[in-house]
Parts: sequence; structure tokens; C-alpha cells
Amino acid sequence: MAIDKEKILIHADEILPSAGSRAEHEEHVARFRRFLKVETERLKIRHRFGLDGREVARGRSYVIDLVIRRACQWALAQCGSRREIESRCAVIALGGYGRQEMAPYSDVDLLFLHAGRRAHQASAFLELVLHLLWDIGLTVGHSFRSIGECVTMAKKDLHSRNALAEARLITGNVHLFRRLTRRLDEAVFRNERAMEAFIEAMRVDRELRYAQFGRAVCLQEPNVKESAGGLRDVHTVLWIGRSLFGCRTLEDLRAEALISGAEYAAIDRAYNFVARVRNEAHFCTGRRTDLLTLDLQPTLAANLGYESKRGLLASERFMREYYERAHDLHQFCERFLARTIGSKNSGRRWRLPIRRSKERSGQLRREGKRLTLDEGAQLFRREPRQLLNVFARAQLEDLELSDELKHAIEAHLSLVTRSFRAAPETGQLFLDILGRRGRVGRALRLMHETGFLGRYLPEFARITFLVQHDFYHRYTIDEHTLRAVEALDEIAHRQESRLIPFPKIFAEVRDPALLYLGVLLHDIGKGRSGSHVPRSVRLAERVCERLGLESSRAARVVFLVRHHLLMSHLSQRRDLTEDALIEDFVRQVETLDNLNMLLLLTYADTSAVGPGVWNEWKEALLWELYVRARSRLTGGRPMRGSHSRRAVLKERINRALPIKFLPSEIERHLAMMPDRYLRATRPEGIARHLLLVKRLDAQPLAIDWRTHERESCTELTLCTRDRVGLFALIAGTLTAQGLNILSADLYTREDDIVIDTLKICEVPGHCPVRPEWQSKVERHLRDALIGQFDVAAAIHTWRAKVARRRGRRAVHRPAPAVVRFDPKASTASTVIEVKAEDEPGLAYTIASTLTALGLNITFAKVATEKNLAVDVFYVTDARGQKLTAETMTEVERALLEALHGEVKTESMRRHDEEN
Amino acid sequence: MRKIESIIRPHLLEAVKTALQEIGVIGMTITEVKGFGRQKGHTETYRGAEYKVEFLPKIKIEVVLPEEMVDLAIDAILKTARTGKFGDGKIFVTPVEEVIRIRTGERGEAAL
Repeated sequence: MAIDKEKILIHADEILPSAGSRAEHEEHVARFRRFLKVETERLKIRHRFGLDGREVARGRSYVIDLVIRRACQWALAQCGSRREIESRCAVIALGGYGRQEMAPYSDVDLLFLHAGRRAHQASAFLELVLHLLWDIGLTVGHSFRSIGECVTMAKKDLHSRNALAEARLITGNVHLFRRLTRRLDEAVFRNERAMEAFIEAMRVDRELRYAQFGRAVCLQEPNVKESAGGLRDVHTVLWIGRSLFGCRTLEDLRAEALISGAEYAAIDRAYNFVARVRNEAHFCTGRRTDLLTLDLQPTLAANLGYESKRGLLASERFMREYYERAHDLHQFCERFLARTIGSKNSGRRWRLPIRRSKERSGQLRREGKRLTLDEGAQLFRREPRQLLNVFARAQLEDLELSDELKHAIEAHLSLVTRSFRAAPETGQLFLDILGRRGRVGRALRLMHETGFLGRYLPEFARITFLVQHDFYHRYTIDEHTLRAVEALDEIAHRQESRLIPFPKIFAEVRDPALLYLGVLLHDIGKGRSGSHVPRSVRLAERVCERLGLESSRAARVVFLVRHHLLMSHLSQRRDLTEDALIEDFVRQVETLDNLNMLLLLTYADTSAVGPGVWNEWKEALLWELYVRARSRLTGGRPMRGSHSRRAVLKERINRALPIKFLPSEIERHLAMMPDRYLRATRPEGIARHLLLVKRLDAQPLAIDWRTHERESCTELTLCTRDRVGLFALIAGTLTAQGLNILSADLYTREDDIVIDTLKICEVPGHCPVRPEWQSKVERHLRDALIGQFDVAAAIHTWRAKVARRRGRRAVHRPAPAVVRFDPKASTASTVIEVKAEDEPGLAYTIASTLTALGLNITFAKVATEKNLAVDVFYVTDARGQKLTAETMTEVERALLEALHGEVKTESMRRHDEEN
Repeated sequence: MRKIESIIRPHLLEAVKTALQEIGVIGMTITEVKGFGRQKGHTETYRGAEYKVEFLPKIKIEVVLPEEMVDLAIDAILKTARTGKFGDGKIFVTPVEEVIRIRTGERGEAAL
């Protein structure tokens, strides 16, 4: 269903006012608007029927051409000096519009070129045209320049230069336009001296763009235009191609043998796809939308014809394809730039390697910091095993792969056959690569980049570009896995140790290949319905067998895969002082080596989920579990004596205190705090708490603020005296100020002094609380505590305000909440676990519901992972007892009602099973 | 001379001991004891038909001090051992007639 230009033209003739028409201005505008509306709608229908992204973009450009030509005709008719203007002016399309590629709601970039002298007539004309275009509802970016000014701009400003590189005449004096292009060619585009500066500027610009919009292809919310793998990557290639080789299109580049046929085919496909996604984003939102937000992705997927299948949501399947294509684009752009402007000898013009005579055999050769292949790829055909050997060598000698070598590997991936995969010697070679502590990540990345990894481990190909629309994961599964491997590598190079001496523990691991293999395979079963763990286990068994791993070693890899969630689960959600829990854990782990590996895997897995996911809190809890299990496994010998540890702790608290405290004061504080406090709080934190308690004295409240720029949140520590419903009161006051609670640690000292540490951020902007706000928040908290601030009323007002704002946003169905009870996890209280999509005010809703039911909250872990909140509350009833079965039912009902939950969605259920 | 005998919560022992040392107390005797007071120890079951007594573990600290230090020590113990809840314990103060150091036979305050 191609674009029918003839039909559009007829439509324009029918509806658009002709030059001589004397109708009112409003009438004109209305006609233009109608034309644009109908043509946009027609284009949308063609697009929905599956027309290529670039075709649609070309169609749009054609429609806009017509509008502008007619608008100019009309404006000319209004001007007195018609001929004068026609001969001295040209209207020129720039940028994407100049390239005849316009997404439906893109800006219209226009250059009004004038001949220099007597520009005022042209400027009157320009005004008329612009006013009309604005009234029609187009977003116009325009400039009004002479040829000289254009050349100066192009020399000075990279963006102007690139926009001008695509200049295309729409209407006006063709000679003027030709003069412009000639001058630009001479002074800018063909100017050898300016080339180096241009290339450097392009490099800087690209860096800035990635820094702003994302360097990784697999972003959760990519920008189709600007992120890595976006359309801009192709444009960059085109601009470089124009400047260096005078090629204006991908077709030109191919004709000049600057890109190979295979590359062209892949890029054409990818470019069309990404453009099509962008068109859809514009069409379905009705405006210029380039950011594929999580909200938007399901709609895009549905409109582009994806369906949920085999356990993958439609949006997941859509994004998987998007990542694949964007990856192609990005790879292509990287390589093109590397071979054209990357190397120092960029004066030499790059060509595709020409096939040489067959007799000459290829050899791997080191060339500086690169590994390259001499003369053709006979090597791989003769000795397929060399494919894997390339990576081993690159790893051992710390080398990059040359472009030719990468090409050769890609071209010979078909040599990786079933028998190649099953050969014991390749298996051994692969395990050798995995066994090199601290250097595995880079090797695997190279394998992945060239597509070798997916060929060699077909199981891995299945998780490549797989995105999971659950709450935790920020990267696609393959990216997450490689990042986990790299996190492990990083440990081996790390000198300083924080709480957990990871480097030391890593050094204790006897067989690192098993650990790396465990990390590589831990999520291999994702992307099918049901829990991923049993599937990962099955696939891991298969891979181990194929690699020829002896059964005892295979069993340990499988152990790691099977239990990769165990340690974070236990440490974050259970009370570690219960002996039975530790004993049970030790029974599963069996050996110290297993425990070490599992700890490292847990760290690698967690820190690869996203930045800031690994934090001190998790580290402290994980360490506690590890130490307890370790002392059990090593016959009761703890790693550090717990007695001396207490002394060390006191010493460090003392050092952190700015003023002198009596030892007994410190001792008393520690004694009155629950055990878990010592586990989870650093000495510096304890020192701060001591100061707060001292400041509290007879006051109702003492507060300490600190800003964490890196996590972009503010840590608020408040010290006050306990009372019924205190947490609800605090949470409510903060919420009503427009603050979101990200996490909360609540501690009550035995003498009823409460120390609550909350991580909060401002809801708009998701940034730390500004200092000028802090005093206001503090005042409200104080008023709330002495009963002079009506929290319930403030919340009510705030809710109404938020609801109004929400109404305007795109429809977003929140995942329903899940409430779970664990009566056994603690001896004194009942544990309530609430999982819900995070939204401002969530903690308040839960806490006030619990308080309204007369329950005491003795302990809370409010934690937010991406946009899922897992809030754990330890509660007792009014008499200080555990909850009865009836109370639990009542609590569940009340909570679900308060959280307006519905039926569970697929992704929620799946997430549930896995955690 | 007086003997201060205080019953305190076990986990506050370190804190109380340190607080006493801070005011210059150089010796004390510690005993692990069990007992109950007005509230904590006993629980009445429904309708009062059964009556159960539970002894709770406590620590007893005994110190003998010259007159002028007694109030100081009581203050220190109060400040450290008080949580404001049932089960904080008690302090008993009794006069002491004589103190003898066994090794040397010294008597009175010199033997403290």
C-alpha cells in the first residue's frame, strides 16, 4: 500500500485555496487544516496497514511540501512585489525534512534564503508564510539567512552544518539554491582543512548525546531518536558519509562499497523498523513523542500487531525486536565510524576487503593492541575451533579485535554447528576462558558482540534482547547477565574492601569457572511462562553436559543456578537471629566453597540489576547471613570474634562522634536497640543517632538531613518518642508535602525513643529534597507530632490534587497489590508483606490502614526496587500478641481495599512465582 | 557504708557496669537471678481459673559504697537501667556494719 502522490496532489488541488482566491484568512486556515488532518489520517491508515517506516516518513514529507508550496503561493499573492520576491528568495527544507524523512509530528525545519540586499521585502513574505503555517498548527523551526550567513553558520555550528547538508529546495529561485550548495561545498563540505575539526566535533556531539539520552541500546525507556541505536545513529553515518565521501544516502554508500551488501540489508531493515516505531509513537499520542516510556510500550506493541505469546507479553516481544534492530543500527554506526574516522590514518579511504586468492592461508596476528586476521578467513574454514581461540587469545593478551576479524567471525558463524558445540576440546577451551578470574567479562562481551556466544550457547541466544516488564529489571536479560559477569570481574581487581571482603572471598573460590558459568546461566530460563528457576536449572544441566563438565562440577553449577535467589531472599525478608533459619540454610549450601560462590553470585546478580540496587543495607544483611552460615560451616569459628567486634564497633562509634560521650551512654543505646539495629547500621550512623537522642532531650522531635546525590534522594533521620500510629503520622505528613518514601527503617528503643530513617525524594523530578524545603517539612512534622497539623486533612487535599493531575496522563493500569502473611518468621510478631506498584503515598496508605485496625508496627522494611514496592511490616495486635487468623483476613481485606487492587496480571503473577 | 543491690534487665548490665565505673565504683558482684515483680512475671489466663507464675531472668548487681557515693551511684543506675516500662527492676539500699578484706584483715572503708 504505497503512497499515492497523485491522489494527494488531487486532494490538494481540490481543497487548498489557489493563489488567486480572495477568501478570508480564517477560511484559508480552515482549508489547510482540513487538508492536513485528512492526509495525516490517510497516512496513519497506511501506516497501520504495515507500510514501511521510511515510506510513511517520505509520504509525510510530500504532504508538507504541498502545504508549504501552497502557503508560499498564497503569501506571494498577498505581497505587492511578487516578482521581486520570487527571484530573490528560496524556501529550503533542512534536516530530516530535507532528507524527505519526517515523522508525523516532527518539526518542520525551514530556511528562507534571501539574496542579501533589500531583504525587507522577503522578510514581509516570510512573516505571512510563517503566520499561516503556525495557524495551521505546524511546528516550524525557521531561519532567515543570506548565503553568506548560511556558510558562516555552517562553519561555526555543527548542528547547522548537518542540517544544511540535507538542504532541499521546496520552492523559489533555483539558481539561488544552487549557489548556496556550491558555496557550502567549497567552503565547508569539501573543505579538507575543516574536515578534522568536523570529525572531532561529531565525536564530541555523539558523546554528549549518549551521555544525555543513554549509551546502552537496551534501555528500559529508550528514545527512538537520540538514544544509542536510535535514528540519530544512522544520521550520523549519513553526515559523515556526506562530508567524507560525498554520499548522501545509504544507497550511495553501498554503491561506493563503503558498506557491504549484507550491512546495507540489515541497516535498511533496522532503520525502517525504528522509523516505523517512531511513526507509531507519534500517531498514537498525537504529538511528537520520541521516548518509549513503559506506559506507552504496551499500546505501541498492540498497535504494531504484537500479541502475547508463550509467556511473553506483547510489549516484551515488541521491545525485544526493537532492541534487536536498535542494536543492529548501533553496531553498524559504531563500526562505520571506527573504520572511517576512528583510526588515525583516516586519510586512507576504507574499502571492503576484497577476496584474495585462495591459496594464502589466514593467520591471526597481533597489531598493536588489536588482534587481526591476515588475508581472508581460510583459517576458520580449515580450523573452526580457531573461532573460539580468537577470544581466548584476545582475553589472554588483553587485545581488541580488528574490524576485519569481527567481520570474518560473523561471516563464519555457520561453522559453529552441533558437533562444534559438542566437541570436548571446545568445551574445555570455553571453560578455560571462564576460569580466568577477573578477565571473563570482556571475552564474553566480544563473543556476544560478534554473535558467537548465541551460536555457541543457543540457550543464551534465547535471552538475548529479552526484556522483562516486571518491576525489577532495568536491562535486558543478556545485558543483565553480562553485567553480572563484569561485576564479578571487578571484584578481582578491587583493592579496597567495604563491609564484605569480596576480594578475599573470591580468592577462596577454588574453581572460578564454575562460578562464572553459574552467573552466565543463572537467568537462562527466563522468558517463558512460569517460574524461571526450574527452567534455568534444566537448561543449565543441559549446557553443563554439553560442555563436558564432570558430574560433580556440573552439580555445583546447577546448585548455584537453583539457589541464586536464596541469599537475597533470606537476608532481606527474614529475621536472621532465628537459629532454625540458619541451620536450614546451611543444610542447603553444604560446603564453604558453595557458600562463597553463592554469596558472590548474589552480589553480582544484585548489582547488575541497575545502578544503586546494591546498597549498604543489603550488604549488611547479606553479610550477617554469610557470617552466621560460615561460622556454622567452619565448626563454630566465626570469621571475626563477635566480642572483639563489639569493642571495635564502640571504638569506631567513638571516633565518629564530634563530642565526647560517656561509654555508658553508648553502651546503653546499643543495649536498648534491637539486635537487627547493630547488624544494619554503620558506626557513623549510630554516632549520628546518639547525637540526635541527645538533642531530643525534652523536645518533641530531632531531625537529621543528608542528601545522597548519587541515589538522588534525601535521607531523613528523625528521633522522637513512640506513640500509637507514629509511622502513619510521619508517612502522611511527608506524603502531603509531595515527598515520596523510598525506604524506611524503623527502630524503637526499649525506652520508647524512636529512631526512624527514611529515604525520601521530591515527587516531581524525583530529586533530593531541596534545603529550603527541609525546614518547612521539619516544621510540619513537629506540628503533626504535637497535634497541630491535621495529617488526614492534608492527605485528603493532596490526593485530590494528584487525582486531578493524574487524570490528564496516559491511561496506566497499575498492577494490583498482593498481601501475604508469614506468622512463623518471627516469634513475637506477625509479618505482613505487601507488594504493590510504588506510588507516592503508598507507605502512608498501608501504615494508616494498619493503625486504624489497632495494630502496632514494631518494625518495617519499606523498600522500593524500580517501581515495585515491597513493604514488610512486623506487627502485633493491641495486646501485643501475634495476629489471629480472623485478624489476618480482616487486615488483608482492608489493605487490598485501601490499595484498590484488582485481579493479578500476568506479569505480577510471574514476578510472584520468581520471588 | 551502704550496700546497693539492684535488680536490672540482663542486657543492660554492660551499660550499668560502665556507668558505675564512670563514677568511680571499682568493685561489684554480679549474680544471674530469676524472679518476678508486680506485673511482668505472672500471666492470668481467661476467667482467672488458672494462675501461672513465670520467673524472668534478671541480673543482680551488688556494690558496697561509702556514704558520699551512694546517691551518685543510685543516679547512675536509674539513668542507665530505666526504660520506663514494667520489668525495669528495683534498687535496694541497706546499711553495712562492717567490711573486712580477707587477704589483709583490713576493716571499714579502707577495705572497700
